[in-house]
Amino acid sequence: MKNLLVYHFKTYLKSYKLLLPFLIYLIYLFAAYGIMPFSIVSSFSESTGVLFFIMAYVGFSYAELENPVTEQLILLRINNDTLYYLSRMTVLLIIGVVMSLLGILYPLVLNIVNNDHLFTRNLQFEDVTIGFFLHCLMAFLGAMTGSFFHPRIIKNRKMAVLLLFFFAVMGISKGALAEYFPPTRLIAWVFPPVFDILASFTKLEFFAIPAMALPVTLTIAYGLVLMIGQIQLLKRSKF
Amino acid sequence: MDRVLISLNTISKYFGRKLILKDINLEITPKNAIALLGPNGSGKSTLLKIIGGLAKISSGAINYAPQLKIAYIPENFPKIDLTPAEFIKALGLIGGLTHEQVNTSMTDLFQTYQMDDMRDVPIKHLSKGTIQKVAVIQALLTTPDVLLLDEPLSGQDIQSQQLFIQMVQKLHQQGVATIMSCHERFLVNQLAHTAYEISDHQLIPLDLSSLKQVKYDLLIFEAPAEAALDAELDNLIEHAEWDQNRLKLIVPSDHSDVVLKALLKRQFKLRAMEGMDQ
Repeated sequence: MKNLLVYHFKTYLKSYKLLLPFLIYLIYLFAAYGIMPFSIVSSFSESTGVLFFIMAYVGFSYAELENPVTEQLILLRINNDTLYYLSRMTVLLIIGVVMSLLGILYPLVLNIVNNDHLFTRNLQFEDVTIGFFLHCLMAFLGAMTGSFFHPRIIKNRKMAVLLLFFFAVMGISKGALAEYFPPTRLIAWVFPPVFDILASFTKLEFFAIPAMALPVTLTIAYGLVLMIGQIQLLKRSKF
Repeated sequence: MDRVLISLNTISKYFGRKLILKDINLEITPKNAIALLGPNGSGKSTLLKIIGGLAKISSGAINYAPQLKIAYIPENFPKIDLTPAEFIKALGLIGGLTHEQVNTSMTDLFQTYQMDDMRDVPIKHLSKGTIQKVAVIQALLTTPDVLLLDEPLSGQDIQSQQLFIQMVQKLHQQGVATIMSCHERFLVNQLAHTAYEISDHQLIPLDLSSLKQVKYDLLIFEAPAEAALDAELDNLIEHAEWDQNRLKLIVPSDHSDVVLKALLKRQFKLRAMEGMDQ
């Protein structure tokens, strides 16, 4: 697994495909925390939403980058397709954790620089841990959503881009849509539960774990279904 | 009787509704040297991938001996960002070799294939022939049980081809089974004990003795400026390799006179000519 991870990281970093999403997230953080003070919960909420979109792009571009010939050569070496695909997902998860760290550390450092005046109230340990966890969760969800639209799962790439865009936008806007058109609730579960998780804490002053428990469970389950589904589809479709 | 490494039992393959292979039966045992011939699009590469377990089959069954090591030389190795050294090293480590084993084996192979100067150049910047050498080296990093070769000599210079042929012959002696798709008959003569043609979606055994009767000549010319080979002449030539204004040809001996006359007429200058060993 270690050697697979090293190989995947080398391949990915040498392609410079990570640079653009990384810079976009950085620019977002600069802009979003430009004028203080902020509500801790709502600013973290916005940041996790942005991270979902960025990681969806990272997941998608990472799947695009995979070369079928080198993939075949490695699959023959390891004789374990599941391990190969899991290693690729792990790379995405590690990138997600790094991006989440960035999303948490930047306001944390800025708050220290501004003598604790960045937010409308004092930042507590729980804010940081729950905020980091939520960033990681959304990064996981975004990465799994983006990588699901793999070239071997959806061969028509134009369709894949449109579908990913549609799924990502519906994920975040399905709540608002359901208010106008209640029947859409019937199919809302198909889309990533971004709205569900953001709605569970956005209007609060403090993170409330009991209110977040169900959406968090849903998000983990949704991400795992995408992950397992993707691995099974890739193993079945072959080349 | 040799143990069966891979057996294909009434394999069929469709791409959508298009039938590619129908009811293919094949047993691969150690030291087998099988050549698959057939026109482009006949399903040679698909069959190789099926043998390697890389392509899905529509019906039938494939059985593999346990712990089987399969190596594969693809026809078109991709232009990736990694250098040959980085890629080969990564592949070796992923395959379970130690750093020391990878370094030793990799250094030997880079030297053998005269790639020392290019080991740290990104693969995407290498020529087609050199990239094909990377494809060969990655497959030979360890000794496999079965070696799958998809048009292995495409783009390689004649010197590398000879090296490659020697290396595969050595692998045969070590008991490695090889299955190769190719169109160069001189290669079949040197590397295969059994040959099949994929015709009408099926494997048709070929009489190898008739192929072995074909003899080849190596011709080296100095070409006039902006010279090129036309399609008519191309049909008579088994393999052509340009090195600036130097043209190396492998031609069936029956056609050598015709090719020689035609090229001399076009102001090509003959620099060397010799029969090729079978």
